[in-house]
Amino acid sequence: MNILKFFISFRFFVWFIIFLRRPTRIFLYGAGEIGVEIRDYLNHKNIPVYCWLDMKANTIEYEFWGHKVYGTSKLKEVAEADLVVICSEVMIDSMVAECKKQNVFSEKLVYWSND
Amino acid sequence: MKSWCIGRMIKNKKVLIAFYDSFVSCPRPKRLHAYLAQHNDVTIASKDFQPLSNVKNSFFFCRAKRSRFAQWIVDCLVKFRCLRRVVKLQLSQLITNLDDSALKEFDYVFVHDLALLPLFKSVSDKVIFDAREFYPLMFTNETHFKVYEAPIWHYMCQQYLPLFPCKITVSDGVAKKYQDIYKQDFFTFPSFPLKSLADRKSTFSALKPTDKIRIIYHGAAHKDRDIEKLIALGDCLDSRYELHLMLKKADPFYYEEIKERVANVSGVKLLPPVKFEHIIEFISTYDIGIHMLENTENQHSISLPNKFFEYIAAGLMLITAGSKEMYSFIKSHNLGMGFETKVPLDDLARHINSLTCNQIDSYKHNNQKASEQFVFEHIAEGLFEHINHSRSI
Repeated sequence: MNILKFFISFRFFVWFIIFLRRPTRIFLYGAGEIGVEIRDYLNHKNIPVYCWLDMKANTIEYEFWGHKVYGTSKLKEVAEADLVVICSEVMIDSMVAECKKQNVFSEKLVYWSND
Repeated sequence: MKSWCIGRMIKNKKVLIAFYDSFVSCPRPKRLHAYLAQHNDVTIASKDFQPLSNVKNSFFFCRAKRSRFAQWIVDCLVKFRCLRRVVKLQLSQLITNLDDSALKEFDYVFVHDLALLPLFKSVSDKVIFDAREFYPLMFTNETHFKVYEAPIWHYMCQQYLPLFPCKITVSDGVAKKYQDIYKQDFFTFPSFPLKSLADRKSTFSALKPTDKIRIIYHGAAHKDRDIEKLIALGDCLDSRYELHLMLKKADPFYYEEIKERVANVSGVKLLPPVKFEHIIEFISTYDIGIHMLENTENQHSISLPNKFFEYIAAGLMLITAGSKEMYSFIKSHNLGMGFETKVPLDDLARHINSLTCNQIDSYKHNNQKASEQFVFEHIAEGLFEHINHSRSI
């Protein structure tokens, strides 16, 4: 993984995983800087994003960049053939834990761990 | 270069304030927004990715991250001075929803970061570039910055500053540096606090001989802020003094180091930061504000930081070292103890230990008087007079 991280960017890694796994729907979890970067990259590749989530929307959902941002309870909708991209560098552990809380397990998650 | 004067307020205009950071972290754009939003339609473009309350943040900036390999390639390009290519690559990585058609609707566009300037070439006549730093000298104490980043900033100054006629900066020293190196004129607009925040300070009360004399330093926990020296100073001060460090965790690992050092020193306390709007109110309960900017390699000698004027607004006696700009202010208004260059720790401790309560009160009294003129509103109208004058040329 470290060799991968040296040569390619996270956004390319996400695109490559999507290319390989062909998920039915893509959930972006994290609407901060990395979430914006991933969203922008997927837009350029004409890959639609089904849903954008962020913990900040747990209190109240909001709109950003013309897109609605939902709270993490939306993770309950993740189905078998879906993919959740965790868009964070520093909060990965808590976000993975939140996904597990919502019964979304690691095989549906895409993220770069800090190891 | 005293450019401050009372001029005309701008009203009913569409203003854009653009900066590459989050709104809460940036005092200077924040002050400008608070002042202009009273009578104008103000929008911000920043690194905020959710709606802010009471602030129209319709536009954002974000930078796509490179892999380490890609960064290595860029570093090689910098080393071989392919700077045009590097700047082009950097711009291609900037993600924003701000485009030329959106820019046309604004009457005034304040740009607070050099890295963003290229985005505003199409409206250069409406732009006021606020250089909060002397960019090529920002972190020259760090080798990586000196070798790989300073050349890029230098190139950008050479290429972009001439395209924007209206430019302002934080101190006469920085303005002179831009003039000396790039032959570009900058209007000096210091970082005076808003009157509404300055007015929240506690009323003056004289020190009693039995009172503890409380010294405060507030700011980000950065390695170039001589915080280790401040902690060591706390150990050298006599028992009359207490030194409090109110630090923001800019670098979490460095902050932990600082915490460990403070734990081993009596007379020094670490405090959590307070919100921007409460800084002056909080620090006005102290007696002395201290700021050491002793690194001579970078821009410290020409700096006039926000916290300097926050200390003045709070009515504190000032102790500063390293910045000629701060030294000049202190001497001309008798605001405290200033050192033009680096000062040895023992000398500094000796000077502070020799202070009497009457001396400290006298400086505090001078500061209370001086603070009335060092407020944002006092010079803001002069800024707009300068801006409108530069547009009419």
